[in-house]
Amino acid sequence: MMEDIRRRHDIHLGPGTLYGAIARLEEAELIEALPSEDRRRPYRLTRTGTAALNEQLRSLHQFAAGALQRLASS
Amino acid sequence: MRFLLRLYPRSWRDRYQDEFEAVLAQRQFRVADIVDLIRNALDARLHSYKGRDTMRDLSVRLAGVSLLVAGILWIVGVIDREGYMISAFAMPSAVGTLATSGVMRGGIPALLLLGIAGVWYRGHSSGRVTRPFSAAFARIEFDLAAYVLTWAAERFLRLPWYNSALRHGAIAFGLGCLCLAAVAVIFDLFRRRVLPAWSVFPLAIGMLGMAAFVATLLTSDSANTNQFMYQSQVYFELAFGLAWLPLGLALLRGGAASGERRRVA
Repeated sequence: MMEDIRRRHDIHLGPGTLYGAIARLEEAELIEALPSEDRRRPYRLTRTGTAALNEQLRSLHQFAAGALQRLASS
Repeated sequence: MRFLLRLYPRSWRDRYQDEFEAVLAQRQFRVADIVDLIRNALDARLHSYKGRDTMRDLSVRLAGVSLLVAGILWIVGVIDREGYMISAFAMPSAVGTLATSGVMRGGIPALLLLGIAGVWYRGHSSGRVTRPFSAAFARIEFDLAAYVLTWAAERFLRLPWYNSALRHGAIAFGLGCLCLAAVAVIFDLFRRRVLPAWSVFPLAIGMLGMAAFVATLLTSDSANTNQFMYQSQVYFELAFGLAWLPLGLALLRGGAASGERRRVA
């Protein structure tokens, strides 16, 4: 996950920050751990998490679209 | 870097330590990761995880102990200072000296401030102790600090403020008890067992004293009012000290219980 974020967005996420976010997301039941045979665990979005992420992205998209429109008309 | 994981709370480590160590094993050592670990371990301590929060529980219980100690010290100090008025409570001079020393007069507000911080923290997080309840106690604390400052100014700077401090203190104690009593009734804190039943007595004493003081102020001249204030202040102060004790007990119970998921009816 850290490597993926670094490659896509050039953001260096520390392991402490990553697991801090994972703990909060799991506690809020937005993600869930999948069974794994080795020590590292994959995670996936829950149904609640998917809905929450959709809502966040829609809101961000609206905000960005509105801002770009204002910028273009200024 | 694995030893840094011991900074995380036990509950967090039980869940994530294994996979976290696997992630660390695959990374190259970076100084920035050490800072990242320490910072997030502190965050994990402060952030409630699965309803258990050791730092918050500890701070609330410490605040509860502080309030109990502060209330008892205050009562001892008042009894010693006014011992000639309450002859049944004579005590060894060393105890009285300790209680009424300048350190105690400065330390009591500090302890009470810690108690208030604990109440705000606890009240904000759980709703078990409501914000108005916290505000009512905070008011007493601010007035107490003002009272101690005016006493110190009169004592060390020879400023003639003592009578004003006396009045201010008496009004503050009485109003503070009135605020607490009102909040306790409005938010049903006795039935919900946030406050023990016996705490109604110090609150009632403070309110009755306040009512008598106001009546004297309105009907008597200044000399009689000052005399009444001086004689009755000891009872106001005893009520004040006693009123802190149930709050301290409430915080101790709340801090011990916050590890469980309890809902107040």
